[in-house]
Amino acid sequence: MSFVRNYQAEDCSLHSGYWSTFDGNNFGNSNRKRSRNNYYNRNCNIYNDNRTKFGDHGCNFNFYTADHANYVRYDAVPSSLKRRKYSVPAWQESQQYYVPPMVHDNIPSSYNFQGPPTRSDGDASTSASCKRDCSIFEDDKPVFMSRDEIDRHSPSRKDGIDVHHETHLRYSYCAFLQNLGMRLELPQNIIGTAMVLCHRFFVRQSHACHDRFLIATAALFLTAKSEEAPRPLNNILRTSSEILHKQDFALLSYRFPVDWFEQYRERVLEAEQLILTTLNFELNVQHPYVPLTSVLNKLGLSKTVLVNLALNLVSEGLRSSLWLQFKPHHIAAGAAYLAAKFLNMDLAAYQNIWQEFQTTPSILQAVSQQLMELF
Amino acid sequence: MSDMDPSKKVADRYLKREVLGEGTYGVVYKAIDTHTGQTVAIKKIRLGKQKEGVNFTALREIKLLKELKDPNIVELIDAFPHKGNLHLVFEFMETDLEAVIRDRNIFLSPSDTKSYLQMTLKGLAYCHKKWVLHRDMKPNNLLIGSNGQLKLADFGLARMFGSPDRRFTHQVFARWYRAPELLFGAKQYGPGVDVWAAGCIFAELLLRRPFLQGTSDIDQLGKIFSAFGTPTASQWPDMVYLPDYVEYQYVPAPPLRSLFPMVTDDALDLLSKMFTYDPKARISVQQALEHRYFSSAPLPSDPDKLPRPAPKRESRTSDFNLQEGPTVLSPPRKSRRVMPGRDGFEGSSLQADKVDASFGDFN
Repeated sequence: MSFVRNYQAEDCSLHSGYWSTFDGNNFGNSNRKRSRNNYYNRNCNIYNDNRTKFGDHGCNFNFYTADHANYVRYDAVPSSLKRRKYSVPAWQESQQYYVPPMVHDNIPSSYNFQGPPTRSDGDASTSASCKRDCSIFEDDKPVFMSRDEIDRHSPSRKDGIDVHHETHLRYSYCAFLQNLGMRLELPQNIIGTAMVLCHRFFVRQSHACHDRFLIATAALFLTAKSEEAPRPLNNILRTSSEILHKQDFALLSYRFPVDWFEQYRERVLEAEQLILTTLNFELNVQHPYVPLTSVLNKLGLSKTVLVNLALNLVSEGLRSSLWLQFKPHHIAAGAAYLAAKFLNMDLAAYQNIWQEFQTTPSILQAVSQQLMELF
Repeated sequence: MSDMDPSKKVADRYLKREVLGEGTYGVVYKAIDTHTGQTVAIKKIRLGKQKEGVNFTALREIKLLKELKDPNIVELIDAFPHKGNLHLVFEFMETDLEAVIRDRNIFLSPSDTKSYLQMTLKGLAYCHKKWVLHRDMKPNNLLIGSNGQLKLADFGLARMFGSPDRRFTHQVFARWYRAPELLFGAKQYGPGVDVWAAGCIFAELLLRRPFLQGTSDIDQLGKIFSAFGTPTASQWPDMVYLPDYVEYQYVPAPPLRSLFPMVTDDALDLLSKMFTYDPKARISVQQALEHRYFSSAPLPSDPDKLPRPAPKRESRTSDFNLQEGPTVLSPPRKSRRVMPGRDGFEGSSLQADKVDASFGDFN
């Protein structure tokens, strides 16, 4: 099913309906109109000045101290993002002490920018795409898309985030998830599933409107539960805070307002529900590990360097959009093909190997090419 | 774009009717889907300010039912959050097997029993083929539609299996349907636990009452052993290694015919295979479906010919007022951002509030 045919440019925002439903009712905010507007400010104004935000309360924190200055580069931001407006009063009213995370690269999270805010008399304006983001999966089952479809029709494009930029954003939240998952002692397949859920999310929603680290934290929390390995939310929040702020959790309490942790908790719970509605509760992710090992096992290659290398390539591939494009056995085949190339092995000598993987030369080529690009 | 996409739902989609009962983790309502005219059942799960986010059991059920699409498994039509609750929309089923078994006005012929068991095993076989254990098999989780089709429901305890070293909780199933390995505290078990429960359901269909009604786990094992005899080491070699194993006084096995005097030899043979003590030797669901019991006369009844309890008069809930018409549940609608300071801002929001207030919801 063509992505182009599925994609609709008119206003079919998932998150606007979602937030209007949940802000007012779940989280004790009596003023729905205000909370909705604040949501747009929080999520779509990616140039908030945190000192302004906390100024009302005598908390003149600058969350980005000198040692973190290199993480936030104003010049790295697409020009269309620099035009995003926000209103100071709305920020001051909101009393949302969600602590913006530190970033690990030059690609800012949607809470991280320290660029000069553009003032506006009106209310916070959101980009068109924040209202326009919509599902590109027509059925319950994820529809596989071509790379071109993913690249051209990502909602982030409308916010001036180009393909190269979005690739880096993808890498950064995957690195974060890998770190977070390992610290929480979660199995690799759960970490991988969380990564894929994030990829699916950002194929439907713009990076400009959602903090990728917040979404990633919620995705891992959700995945751990759905994969029968739940971790207490407090543990996840503490660990993610430590990773994002590069500080021991105990020290964070001194840096931020009193209820920052509760606010963070609330935001992650909101994000969890947003992920569920955005993905239409589709949490099943098939990984290539099983088809890869079973086919190579069948061919008598079970305990070889080839298997280890191919498995490592699959794990690396999680950073890419391959899981949105290909079936697990196709990714497995591409990884085996590339691993064999690295090791100067001729897998064609093994009769019917590509039939075993139910793949074609063009698929092999496409998968291995994209895996190569990761290095 | 599918109707099921939350972003595409039209407001006021579901017309709420009466309460159908309490599910594993929330109230179940009858409702009408105004898009399709279809009658549905909506399970409401409280989200509130839950400490650990979306209900774990609900997530498990949604995740599995998204994967399991089969004529003998209840269909999850939709899921959406609304007013602090998560709502799961299922196809509406008229009754359940427990109601059929309990209804003294219903005569169940051998063909009918065979048909109900066959549909149960077909649904279970599909689950096991997809590496899912149901773990809560009992007659009131076997729903029956208006066409007589039986479907497995309530996957709140279900989970994937397959890894040989995977450890599970033994606190699953209603006690009367619990396999002996679970009662002995096994943490590594497989599809055999569902087969044992299906055997209990088969026996219940034949006897028209629950077969093994223990009052505690110890008593449940006692009931099992008095029905089938105390298992010996040769019958079940791994029994002595189970965590909660205790030795019971030896009781010889009475003839199965004495417990089920009216049934055919084929039925008895299938029962005995489903009630095999050693889970490794117990018949699989697929093997049970291939058993001669199902191919011998009388053949299973057609589902639409099966007897069903007389429908109860539809009770009206307090919020279902005849004058006002049925209350309406609105899934999350697309919200337009309203700009403060624009003309008509207050008026439009007040009107919207009035409209919302005139509709009921599932709180």
